Formats: sequence, structure tokens, C-alpha cells
Amino acid sequence: MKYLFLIIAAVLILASVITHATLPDARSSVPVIYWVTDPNPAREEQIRLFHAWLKKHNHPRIELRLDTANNDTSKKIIQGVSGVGGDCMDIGSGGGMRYFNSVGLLTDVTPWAKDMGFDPSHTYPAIKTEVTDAGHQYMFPCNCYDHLYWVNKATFRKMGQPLPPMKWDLETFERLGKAYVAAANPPGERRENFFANGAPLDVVRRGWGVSVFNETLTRCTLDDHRYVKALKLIRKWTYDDHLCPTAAEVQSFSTASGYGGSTLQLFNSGNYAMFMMGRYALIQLRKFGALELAVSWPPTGGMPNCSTGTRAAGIYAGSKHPELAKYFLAYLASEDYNMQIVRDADSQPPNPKYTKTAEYLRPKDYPNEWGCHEVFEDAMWQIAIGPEYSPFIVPDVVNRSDGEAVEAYMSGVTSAEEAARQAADRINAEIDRSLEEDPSLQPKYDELLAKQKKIDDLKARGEKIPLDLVDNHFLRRYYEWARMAR
Amino acid sequence: MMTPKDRRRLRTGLGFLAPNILGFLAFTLIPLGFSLVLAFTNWDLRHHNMFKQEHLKFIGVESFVRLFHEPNFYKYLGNTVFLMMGIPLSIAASLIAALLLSNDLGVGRKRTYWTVACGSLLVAACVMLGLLGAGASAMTLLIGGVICLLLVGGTFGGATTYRTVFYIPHFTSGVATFILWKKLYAHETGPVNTFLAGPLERLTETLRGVPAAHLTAGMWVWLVLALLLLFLGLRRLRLMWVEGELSWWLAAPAAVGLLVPVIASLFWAPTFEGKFLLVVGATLVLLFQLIRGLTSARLPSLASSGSGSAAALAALYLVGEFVALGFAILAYRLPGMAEAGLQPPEWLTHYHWAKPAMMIMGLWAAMGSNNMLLYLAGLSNIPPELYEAADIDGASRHQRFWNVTWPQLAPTTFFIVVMSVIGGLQGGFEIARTMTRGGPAGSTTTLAYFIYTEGFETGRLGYASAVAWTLFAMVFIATLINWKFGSKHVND
Repeated sequence: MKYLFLIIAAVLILASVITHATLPDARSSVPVIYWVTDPNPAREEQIRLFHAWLKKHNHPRIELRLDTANNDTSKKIIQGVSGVGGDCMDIGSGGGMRYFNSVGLLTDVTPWAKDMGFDPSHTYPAIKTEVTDAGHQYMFPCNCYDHLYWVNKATFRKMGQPLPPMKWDLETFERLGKAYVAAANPPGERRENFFANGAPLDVVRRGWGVSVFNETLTRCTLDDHRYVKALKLIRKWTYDDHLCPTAAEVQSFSTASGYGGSTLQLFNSGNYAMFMMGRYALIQLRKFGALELAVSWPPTGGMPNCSTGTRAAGIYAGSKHPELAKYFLAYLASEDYNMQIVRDADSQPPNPKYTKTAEYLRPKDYPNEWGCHEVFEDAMWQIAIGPEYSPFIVPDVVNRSDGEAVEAYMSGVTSAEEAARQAADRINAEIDRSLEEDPSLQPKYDELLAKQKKIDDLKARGEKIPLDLVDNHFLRRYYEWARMAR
Repeated sequence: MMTPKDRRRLRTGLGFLAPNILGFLAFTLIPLGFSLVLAFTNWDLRHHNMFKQEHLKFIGVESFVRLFHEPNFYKYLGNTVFLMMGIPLSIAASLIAALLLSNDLGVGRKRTYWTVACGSLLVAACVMLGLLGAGASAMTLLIGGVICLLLVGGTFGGATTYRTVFYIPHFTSGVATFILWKKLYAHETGPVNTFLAGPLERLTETLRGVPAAHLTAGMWVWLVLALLLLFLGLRRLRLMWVEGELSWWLAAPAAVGLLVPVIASLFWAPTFEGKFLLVVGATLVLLFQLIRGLTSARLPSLASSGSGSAAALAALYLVGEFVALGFAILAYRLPGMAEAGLQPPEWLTHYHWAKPAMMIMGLWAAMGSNNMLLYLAGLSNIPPELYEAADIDGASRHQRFWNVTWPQLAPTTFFIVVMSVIGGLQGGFEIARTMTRGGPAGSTTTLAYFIYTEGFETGRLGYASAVAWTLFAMVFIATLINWKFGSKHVND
């Protein structure tokens, strides 16, 4: 028996040696770096272009390999703190970046970015807060997006309804929406046709000047009558007017496959006359043929705005080849990569100078899209505002706390007033807990509180607010728009 | 004194055991011990990892104290306990499945030919309907076809076919079945609600034809039934106390437990008259039983006598009272609901329906689980002489089950109860993550899911460990209670 045991042990050792010898790193003659990203088929082409770009610019030879199996946030965190993270990691938002950075997983790329041409000035101003934290850059965008309403012109025509305007207010949205759902759904039958896939709660809230946080990002300010009003309006649109489907109605649609889930299929089939998504929806929409498309901004009752974000790449702090990984970020700002994003319609290219090209504005194979691309581009400059983040709370906790409160209201468990209060209370309790757990944050917090007091005094006196006091980038924009800034 | 040969044999033995022991140490025991230490520290991924080596502080029981002050903890514990209320049903379902599958199917007898003929006819009918383009009812056809195929297969393959089919939920990937159930539960297009829609519509029409006062009268019937259950529960406690089976200090909390539904109903009973009836009725019942108890001669008892029986009795009657009160509210609201039209539930997207939806799914999974296999094994181990003796005594099928099968399965049931309670307290993570993400509004977030979010979404590993060890303590206490009171009945 013991000989059998020894033979098995020997075979296992031999198998390990062979496995190790045949690993990609061991077989490659050049350094290998890994890119942890989503399993999009376009990534293969992007890697091919990267290798060609390195060669064209006489950069060091590197082999970039895909790792699509470990793109889940928990996996990246666990692998990262265990010292085995991918060299380049896709991160889906500025919130994710802040969390990763707070764990220490990201390399500060600020020193390289300016020299290698991938500092924030090479992307949209609205994205700056997504790739930087406390003045330091940790990522560069792989793409940038703003969420607007895609409009299926044929669906509106079929229902005999007027097309929505590009810019509209809440009253117009409601009026056109009610007329549409009345025309599109025969009385007494199951509602299958909706004006839009969803109502933009955050856009409505922000339009009325309500931020998640106060000016200095020290307290949550969702317990606000304007947020309550926004919640009630969205519930009314969903449950009373049926402009948008409820969660149960969404689940009832049997189709749910492909990029973007069921939404795009339902837009194609005419169940949704409009849906809110970035330009990346075209990846899937192009497969449906030449849909007659238009684009509208989300409606607001005040300051026009839309949400924006980025899928960006950062360099793992434990990478064995950070000096090589930085070339990947430089590549993301290059013409080769950006034009590939333009052609694939994978949102806006990270570098906006490539949106002035005919390939972006008038793709020759897709004349049905002409007129849409510039709307996305203009919105990025005019109304797109990234989420606001507080340094005193993990962004995911904010989303979870607010999300649960909104769900409780939408399910009829709480009132809108309670939901707003609960969201604010939970977020503020979490801020207090962070300060308690990490006393090193306290001096900065106290300093900001003193600044907040100044702002509150100015507001109480009805005076304009100096923008240099305001850290919350959304409120800076809002105060400028509302002429409350000096 | 060990001889060289003994030492050599010991080394060989240890060599064989080493991989297992090392694996257990590296992947179970050491991490377990480590997490216990972690629970008393402030370990936060944001401050303590290979990139950020801030000083790790020992904070004692601070995390545990914080946990017990955290309102969400009680909410998530409540969710976990609520889902565990499906355990008795799951055990019953697996026992029924095992009893059915242990039956002699009579393969080869005359009825086999009838089953084959009927099954084949049904399969052919489904195929024909499919070919004729009955696409709108594709799901019905599919389900019908599968049932028919099972009938035919079972006829030829006997119990093995059915046992295999029943066991499928256990070896099918969890995530796949969760996604399937998500589709089954779809509000307007899911087969569950499609099935419910017709009967509910007919029920609505029937109810609309009944005067509202008659429907509302049902509320009084259910309220009286709740009071009757309270009466019976208190009476049983009194008798146990009088006969010395129960000490007074255990009878008192059990009696309070029985009054909990009445107290709770004061907050949600539909009418003032209903609350009045409950309060007056419960007071009279309590006074009556107290007077009867105190005026009776009683036998002495030990302080700990009857603790398990009292707990089981209180739990049983408490659930019964809650159910009766629930039906009372339903009866009160029925006219309004009928007027609006009875609708199938929004299973996974409604705050109050999401948990029952999960329980139903759990019930389905339990039917074909390891519990069923354990019961099957238990049934095959019952000596046939016992059944023969029961037959000679003229026992009915019902009596055979309660007097032979059930007592003989007691050790199996005890093991299943222990394991189910442990699994129930630890469970809910995969379902919540796949089907609801803990929502809507945290209604399906269990303690296991809470540990995940605290550990990996906020990085508080120390706190997450404290939650995990609190959960362990609960599991341990529940298991101790099971052993202390359950094993007694098993041995009896």
C-alpha cells in the first residue's frame, strides 16, 4: 500500500511540474500581464490592437492576456489582498475605485499619466471624479457613457403617437407617456406596452437640486421634501400611470438574454417605446437590424442632467510589472483603441477628440443611427454629472441603504417620507461608524464641518455660496445653474 | 515501549493520514480559529492587508455589542427564522416522498399495462397538440409531456425511476434551479401564476355573489377558533402541571407564549369588536384555567420537568393561533379583495411574498433531498416482523404508520431535524444572491447574506466574523436544545 501511495505522490508531483512548465507565463518569451475584464468578444480585438500599438510606437514587448473569469468585485478584492490580482483591472465606477483604493489595491498613476498622455485632461470633464480620488489618478477609462433615452420611432408611429422631444420637462413626459400607454394597451387586457423601461429617480431628484450628500460630503441630505416628491412621482408613474413597468411586470417578460438583459429585446419588439441606456446599447441594437432610432434627454423639473460613468482600468498595486501595465493605460488614450471603441459603439471613446470624426458621427453602415451619436456626445459635455462620493463611507453602502429604502417605499411597506428619512439615517449612521472606527478621519471631518457651518450660515442668510467652499461636484454644478454661486 | 516495527508502522499510518489532517488543519481548523480571533479585533480590509499594515487592535466584545444594537441584525435574524418555519413542512414532504417511493409499484401486474397505455396516449396527445401548433400553451404541454413520460418510465423502471427523478433537485446545480424558479414565479407569465389565475378568477366571481356580511362573518369564526386553541393549549399546560409533568416556572413562560398571538393581534386585529372579543375571551380563558389549576390537588414535579414538552406544545399552539388570526384578517378583507379582483401574488418582487416564495421553493427541494434518502434508508431498516405483528393485531394503515413506522423513524427524524436547523440558520445565501439580491428592501436578506455583505462589500472582516460566530452560537444552542429534548423522545 505504501508503495502505491508513493507512486501516486510521485505522479502528482510530476503532473505539477508539467503544469507549471506549460503555464502561459513560463512559455512566453516576453513579460506577460493580465487584464481582468468582462467576457466581451471585442476584448480579443482590443488585445490584438494593443500588441500592434506597442510595436508601432517601439514600446517594450509585452504579452497582454485576458482574464474574464475573475471580474467579480469580491474575487478581485480577495485575490488582490492575497497578492495574486490581475495586473490591469476593470473597475465599473468611481465608487468601486474608491473602495479598491481604500483597500490599497490600486497604483497611483498620476506621475505617469501626464507624461504618457492619459491624465484626466484626455477624457471628459464629467468623468474626472470617476478616475481620481483626493487629487490622485488611479484609473483611465476604457469607455465612458451617459444614460439617455433611446427612442424607437417606428413604435411611436405604429401607436399613432408623437415622437418625444429631445429635451423635455416632467409634465411633458407624463402627458406624452399617459397618451402613449392609453393608445398602446387595449383596455381590459394585460399591459404589455410601456412608454419607457424605467423612470429616472436620480435625474428627477438632481434636477430639483437634491444631492445624496451636503456641500462638504459630511452628511447625507436625502431626508428632503424634494426627494420625497421625486419618490412619489416615480411611484405614480410606475404604479398609477403605468408609464414604466413594475418589478413584477419586468419579471413577467419571458425574454432576458444578451447584453443589457431583456430591455433591448423588449425595445426591439415594441414593448418599450423608449429605454434608458448609454451608447453601448448599439452593440446589441445593431443585431436587430436597422431600427429607426432617436435619442432624448431624461426629463427634469429643474436643472437638466443625466447620469454618467465609466468602465475604467487601474493597475494592481501588487503587479509584478507596473511599469509595463502603464502602457496599457496609455493605449486606452490612443487613437487605435479609441477608434475601435467608436466602430464597435461600446459607449463613448475615452478620449473625446475621436468623437469629432465621421466614423463616430455618421457610421456608413448604420445610417439609421445618424443624429443619435452627437446627442450622446453633447450630453457628456452639457448635462452629464457623475455620482457624488463621500470619503467617510463606502459607496456601495450608500447605494444599498438608499436602494433598500426606495424598494420599501415602492413595495408599499413605508411612506415616501419614511423612506427618505430611513435612507438618510442609515447613511449618516454609517458615516458616524466610519469615524468611530477610523479616528484618523476625524480631523478632516471636523475641518469640513466647520466649512459646512459657514455654508449653512450663508444659506440661512439667503446669500450666494462661494464655490471654493463646495466639495460636492454635483452641488457646484447645481449652484452655478441656479445662480446660487459666487 | 514501542518497538522499531511499531514506530515504522506508526510513521506509515501517519503518512497516509497526513494529507487529510494537513488539509483539515490548513483549510478548516486554522481558519476557524483565526476567524474566532478576528471576531475580537477591528480587522478591516481597508486598513489591514498586505498593502496597508495598520496596527490591528484587540477590541474585545465590541463587535458583538454593536451587533446586538444593530436594528438590521434583528431584521435579518427574523428573515432567517421565518424561512426556517418551512423546516417542519420540508421534513414532512421528504417523509411523504420516501413513503411513496418505498411502496411496491406492482410492476408487471395488470395495472402496468393500463398505465403504459394511458401514459402513451397522453404523450401522443401532447406531441399531436405540439405539432398542431398549440404554442401558446407550450409550458403546459411540456409539463404534461414530462409527467406522461415519467408515468411510462416508472411503469417499466419501477421505483428506481421515481427515486432518481425525485432526487434530481439535489444533484442539479443550485443556481440553475433558482433561475428556473425565478421564471416559474414570474408575475404575469410564470406557470405558477398562470395556474392560479383561473381559479382565482372563478373564486372572485363566486365571492362577489356572496353578501359581504356573510364573508366578514368568517372573521368571527376564526377569532373564536383562535380562542379555542388558546383554551386547549392552556388546558394541556394545566393538566401537565397538575399531574406533575411540568414545573410551574416552565408552565408560566409557556402560557405567556400562548398569549403572544392575542397580544400581537391587538396591533393588527381589523376591528375594535374583534380586539374586544380577543381580550375578553383570552382573559376569561386564562382566569378559568388558573382557577382550575390552583384549586386542584397536584403531584410534585422536578424543577426541569417537562421543559421540552412545554416548548413543543407552546410552539405548536402558537403557530396555530397565528394562522387562525391570519385567516380572521383575510376573512375581514375578503369582500374588498373580491371587489378589486383576487390576483396571484407578485412572488419575488413583493416585500411580503418574497419569503414565502422561497419557502415553497425550499419545500420542493426538500422533497427530493438527502432527507428523503435518509427516510428511505430508515424505512428499509424497519423490521417487517413489526408490521406483521401490527397486521395480526388488526391495525389499520393509519395505525401502522403512527405505531410502527413513525416511532421506528424517530432516530432518523431527530438527525434530520438537527441537520435542518443547522442548515436553516446557516442558509439562504445562494438563494438570496441569485434570486433577489436580498431584496425587496432587505426582506430576503438572511444572516449568511449579511455576513457576506459586511465582509466583502464594506471590508469589515472582524465584524463579519463576529456575526458568523454569533450565528455559530445560535446553531450550537439550537443543537444543544435539540439533543437535550429531542434525544429523550428518540430514546423513549
